[in-house]
Amino acid sequence: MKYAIVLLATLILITGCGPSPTGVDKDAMFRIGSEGLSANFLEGAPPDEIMESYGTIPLVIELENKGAHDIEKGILTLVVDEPIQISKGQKTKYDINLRGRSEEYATQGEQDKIVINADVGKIPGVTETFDSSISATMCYDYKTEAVETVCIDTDPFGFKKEEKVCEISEKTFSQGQGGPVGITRIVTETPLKKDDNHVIPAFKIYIDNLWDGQVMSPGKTEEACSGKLTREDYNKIEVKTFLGFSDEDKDQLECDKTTVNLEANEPYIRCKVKEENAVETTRGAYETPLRVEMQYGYSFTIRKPIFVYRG
Amino acid sequence: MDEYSPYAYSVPQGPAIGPKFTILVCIILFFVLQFLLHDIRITMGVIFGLLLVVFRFVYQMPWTNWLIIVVVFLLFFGVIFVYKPQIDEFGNSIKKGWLKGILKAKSEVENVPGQLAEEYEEQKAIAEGDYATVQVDQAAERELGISLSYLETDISEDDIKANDKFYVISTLTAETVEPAKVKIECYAEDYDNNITKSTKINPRDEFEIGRSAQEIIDCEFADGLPEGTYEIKMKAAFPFQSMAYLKKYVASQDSLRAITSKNRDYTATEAFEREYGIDNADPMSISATGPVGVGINFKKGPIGLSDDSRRETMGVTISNEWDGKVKELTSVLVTVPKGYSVENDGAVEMSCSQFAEKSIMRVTCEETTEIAHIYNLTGVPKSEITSSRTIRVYVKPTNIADLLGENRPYNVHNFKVNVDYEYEMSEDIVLYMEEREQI
Repeated sequence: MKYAIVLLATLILITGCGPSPTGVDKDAMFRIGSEGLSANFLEGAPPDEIMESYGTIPLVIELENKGAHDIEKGILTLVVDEPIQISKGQKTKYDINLRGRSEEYATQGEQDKIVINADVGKIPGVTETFDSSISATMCYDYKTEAVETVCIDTDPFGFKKEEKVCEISEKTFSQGQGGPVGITRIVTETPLKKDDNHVIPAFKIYIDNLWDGQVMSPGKTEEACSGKLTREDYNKIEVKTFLGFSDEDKDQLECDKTTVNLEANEPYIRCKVKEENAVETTRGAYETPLRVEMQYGYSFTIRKPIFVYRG
Repeated sequence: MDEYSPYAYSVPQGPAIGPKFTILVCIILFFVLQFLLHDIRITMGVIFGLLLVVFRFVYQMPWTNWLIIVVVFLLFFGVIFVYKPQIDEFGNSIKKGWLKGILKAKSEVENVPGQLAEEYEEQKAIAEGDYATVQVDQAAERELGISLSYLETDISEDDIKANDKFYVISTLTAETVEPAKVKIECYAEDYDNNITKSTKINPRDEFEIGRSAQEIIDCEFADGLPEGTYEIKMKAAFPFQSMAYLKKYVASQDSLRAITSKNRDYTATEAFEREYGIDNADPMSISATGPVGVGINFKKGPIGLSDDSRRETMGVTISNEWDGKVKELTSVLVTVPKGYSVENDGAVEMSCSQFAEKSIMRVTCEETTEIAHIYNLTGVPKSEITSSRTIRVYVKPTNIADLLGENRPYNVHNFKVNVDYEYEMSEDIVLYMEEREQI
């Protein structure tokens, strides 16, 4: 009997804590966090201090795609300062292609290491020391796909005396949705009345840059990594929203804009269901997923100061 | 009125010689006589004699009182006679100190016009925004340069008498990147600027000193010096080079504008730092340690480059950091990143091999020529510097693509200034040469 109880409890725990068996949104568990590409110099490569004319040193940059989207054709560029020079035959620009978190990369995103050789020359002139540095700038296109449950209430003022499954509310999010840009707040607005039998649900979706890098228009990675971005390219996010499980264009929500500018005081987009998709009032209150796709470019720089001293 | 007050003897209708005037005359007379005669007995005798005459015939002191004073005077004189050596020594020390002070003050005063002119130039450069503060390499463990220790005599200063052989000694310490040639000079200078050179300098008056070495130098004055006060100087002149570099970040003008305008709450420099994770995008120039510091002042913050970029002024301040002086500027070499040119009158571009040949320091041409242009500023004044001099260097971007580099959001370059000069360190000591007493 004792064993039966333990077995039963174990089964309950396993089934209770396991992934949702819906099968509809199997990647939801990976869409958490506010990082996309992460990069750092490997400890000691390059070193913090080095003697002049040391010879060749390895620079190792560790990359990991910690977000839920794949990175394709990302760019890494290097800027080095005297007396360090990238060794002849080595590149200063590298491609980044890393899979995001998924079933295949469940615990962490795909990782890569870029190993570059650099030569440490003589300190120019007669100073005893020289402050040098190595910087790596990463530029890549990314997408954050946020799926959050919202409440659609076709009778927001409660004219019908029915018990409601849910109530219209404001939801805030602080964890991110698997990318450096994410939704911070969704305000479900009072539905617009199309006619006596239909309402048009509407939402105000707040979006923000949740990490330390720089947001730019998608498709601008080359420009970002070569210092050719224009003022108009910065802080722009292209947004698409869908209500329900469909991702067909006809089911896309109608928004007041397709591009959100993060420089706005409170960057948000206001969207509503298309008239032809208006919800019948007979449905009462129900919960449904609101899916927001945010496409953008992202860039950030890591820098390692190196103190070069005279030998 | 008191009968014995000096005023009691004053003659209302006669010449008005007050007691203050009398005292003042006596003091001046004391120093003058002591200076001329070097004998305290004669000096005091003359002064007391004079006072007795004045008291008796000017202030008309009664005979009895006057005679008492004469007796006191004779007793006093007797004491002076007995303790003459001690009193002489006291008088001499006052005299020596006085003369030394005068000689020292004289040489200081002679330098004032030059210092004032340099001070004016420095203030002008500050007002025009070209003056560059010198920040010396804080991390340097060695203070580069060549220095002299305080000058000493081989025997006690007070024991050196006129025409006695003596030596002045100093220790020369060198901390250099490469061995340096040093020229030593020793001489004595009197109040009238008459120079007596030392008869010999040991070990030599010109020699090469190692990178990190010490050498004891002594100058011999074999025949001593005639009686009088002298400033003995030892000078060490050596060619030296100081260098500074200024790190500048460059980006395209459009990119900088975009970054600045999207970070409205920050200055352009702060916005750039935020964008690229840079701690300090406006660092000061770093100068090597040594007798001369070099400061470079060029546009604040990151430099925005475009095809319309114009000529800019870079201030180079050469500052005397030690107690000596720059006798002569040999050359001023400016290294600018490839893509910049220097447009000063008399700026001559040098090949790296020429630069390496000219420089007393090692130069790695393979690295240098790939990333920089070197200019020799032949038009700058080469004269002596005791305080500082600011040179305006006109630099113009000529190849934006070279400066920005390929496929990078920003770039970092170093502007360098190498100053070759002859530096002179000087130590001095003031000696009073007293006539040896005849036995």
